[in-house]
Amino acid sequence: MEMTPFRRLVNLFQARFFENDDVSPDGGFETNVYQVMGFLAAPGFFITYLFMPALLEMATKHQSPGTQSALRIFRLFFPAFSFAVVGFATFFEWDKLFPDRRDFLILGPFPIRLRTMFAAKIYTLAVFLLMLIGAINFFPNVFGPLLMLAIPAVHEAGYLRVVGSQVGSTAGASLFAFFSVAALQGVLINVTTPYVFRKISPWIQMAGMCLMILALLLYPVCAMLLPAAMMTGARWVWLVPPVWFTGWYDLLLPPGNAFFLPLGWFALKALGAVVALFCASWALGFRRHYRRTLEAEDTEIRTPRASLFDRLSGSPEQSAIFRFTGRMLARSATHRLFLACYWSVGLAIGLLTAVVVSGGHVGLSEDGLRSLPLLIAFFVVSGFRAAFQFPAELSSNWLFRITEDRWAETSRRATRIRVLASGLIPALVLFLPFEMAHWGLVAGAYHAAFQLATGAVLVEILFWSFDKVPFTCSWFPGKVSLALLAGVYLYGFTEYGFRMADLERLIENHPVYGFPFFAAAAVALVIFHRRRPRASAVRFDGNEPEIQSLNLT
Amino acid sequence: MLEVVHLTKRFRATTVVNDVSFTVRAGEIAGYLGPNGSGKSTTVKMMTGLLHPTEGQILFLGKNLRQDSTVFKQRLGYVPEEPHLYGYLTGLEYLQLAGGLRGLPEKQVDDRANQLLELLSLRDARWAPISSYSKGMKQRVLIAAALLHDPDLLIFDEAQSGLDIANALLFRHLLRALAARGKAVLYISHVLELVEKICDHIIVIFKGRIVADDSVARLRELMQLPSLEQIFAQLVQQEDMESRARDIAELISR
Repeated sequence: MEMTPFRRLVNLFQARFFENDDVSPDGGFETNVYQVMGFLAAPGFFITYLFMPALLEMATKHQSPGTQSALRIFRLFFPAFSFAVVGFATFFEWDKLFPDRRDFLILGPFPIRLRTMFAAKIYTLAVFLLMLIGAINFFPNVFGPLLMLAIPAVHEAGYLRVVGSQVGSTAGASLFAFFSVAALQGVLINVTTPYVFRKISPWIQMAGMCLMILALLLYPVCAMLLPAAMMTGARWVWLVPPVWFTGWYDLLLPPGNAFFLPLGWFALKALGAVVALFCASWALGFRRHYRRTLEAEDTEIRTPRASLFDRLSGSPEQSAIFRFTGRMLARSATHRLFLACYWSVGLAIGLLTAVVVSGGHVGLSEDGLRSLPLLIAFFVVSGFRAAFQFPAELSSNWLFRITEDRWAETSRRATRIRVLASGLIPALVLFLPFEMAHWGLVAGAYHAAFQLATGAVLVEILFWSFDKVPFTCSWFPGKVSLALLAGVYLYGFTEYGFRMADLERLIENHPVYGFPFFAAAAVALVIFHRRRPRASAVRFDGNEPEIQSLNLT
Repeated sequence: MLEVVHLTKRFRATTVVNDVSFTVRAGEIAGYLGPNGSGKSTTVKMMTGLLHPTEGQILFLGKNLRQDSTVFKQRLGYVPEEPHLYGYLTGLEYLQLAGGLRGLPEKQVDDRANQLLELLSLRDARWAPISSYSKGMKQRVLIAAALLHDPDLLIFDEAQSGLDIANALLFRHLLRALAARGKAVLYISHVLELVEKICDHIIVIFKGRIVADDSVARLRELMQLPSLEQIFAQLVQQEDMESRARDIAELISR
């Protein structure tokens, strides 16, 4: 059967969602779809499995307010999980929601009606959304109700009703996340110029992804506050969309809880509002965006900005690599997004250690606050190390390969200065006002000095064996070292953050220890700096590419 | 200056470059010709160190490249066939990167890069990202990057591709000026008229083997053919393209 232009456009737009370097550089469309779906479905399976003992315990106990609270926390998790993952995925695909300039330039000359293009895009988004919701919620929606039915109070409602409530609340939270993000883009396309939209897009994308990671990882805080909120009728629940959607359980499994029923109705109205906003903004914006994107000037001017570190970066080769890494970090959206995700995880873990929930109230832990900047410093430094491994515009690395002259150490030095200049120091400077406000001027300054010293040593340790030019090498560490690395990281961020916080407190209480500590750090840094490993060449490829180099002319 | 000696490259069972030998002397422009897939770019990739030869060696000033690549890399200027450039960088930033990687002092790189961009009519675009450049502009950035460090050996792989008429003419004069200053130039092109006009000697590769290595005049004399186009067609067993073109026109009107 002949394929219609609509079907061809759908295939094209679908391929753009999945066939990209972020997923699997060498995989085909179907491989990438299976990989993504598997990747999204796996956490749902493990989380359902992890919840199993708690649910079975609830089933064997008599109904009590405690059991009700536990069930409520359980019911909050799946909408919260769906909301965060769908929101994250939609922000991740932000550039591919609306057709972009490239799409319009390619498709514009073809005899395709704009409304066909619009319909194909909407159809593609609908398929993407259904696949996303299905993959994330498959295991929780099949096994979750089965486990919940073991609880006597739930059992009375019957399997179908329980499944309906579970599917409804998770799908509702997912749809709300998707349509909120898509409607935000639709509104921005209508109210901004293509140039402004292009400029602000990466920042919105980065902030949105961070927000979704924080929403997921801060779930335990929300869950701990929920029982008290039910008793006191706290207002904060109206600010957290996943909590609204737990109200759908109450709408579908009568008699519902009086506290959550209004939240369920509010969720319904909020979902209707964002869907309406999405439809209006996309319908109004599509033609306008097409015309204005093609008319817009595509060139932007990047005038140079000198940095203090530019003058400290040594030989011309070291300086060239240092500047190259800075410019790539500043301009590659993929790498920026990767770093933002990494740091969001660090921030969420840091906040979880700093925040204490007691008696339904949020408080701050002095120990947690002390370890917060250290944990974030760890994630900043290790995030840079991970981001440098991912190549950018790999085909352009020939320049490095034809000029390379045993640069492993030159590159390592340039990279370490880059991490200090763009990562550790800005992170600590950002923290300094909070440190000073909370601990006082002198103690805050001492903390910053301590964190800088330990962070600089951490940079040296984490980049000890980094023998690449950032962004230019196509190979990754082997599977064994990845597993090892995961263990080291897990141990590293917990031990580094907490043990260094203990050390910081010790020195603060006994200033006499300060001198040997800073002296030891200085000696360590000098030793690291003076290390002169045997000059070795940077390895750009894992193996000589036997097949891909056959592009002969 | 540059000697390629019995160079062979195999990818599994496929021999792409087979026992290739030729020399490029100082002050000479050598044309390296061959149809698509004949092994030209693979030879060049081996010469620039991007691929390792399976057999044979490449000598620069008598020294094997694999033993001492540093001196060679410092004195090599290369314009690749595809304009692979970091699109995130501006034209000037790219030249600064290239100069830095070759160990040139910053001041010298800045001065020379700005002057080269001016002479190659790229001054106004120097702060724009390369991703917004046309193909011709990218080629000019690559040419500037190849000349920045005053190399002794230049390899231009389809360097005139995408250049407008004025810049193509400039490039032709540039090749002559570089050769006149004693630089060895290996020029790969499919524009036979240009090769015929500017190259001192021609190397023709076909199916991985060298089938001719001589001056244009001597090839004309040996093969008793009036133009390089005819010589090339005979060497690479080219079919009658006129009749094939007629076949294509006929096919689409059926």
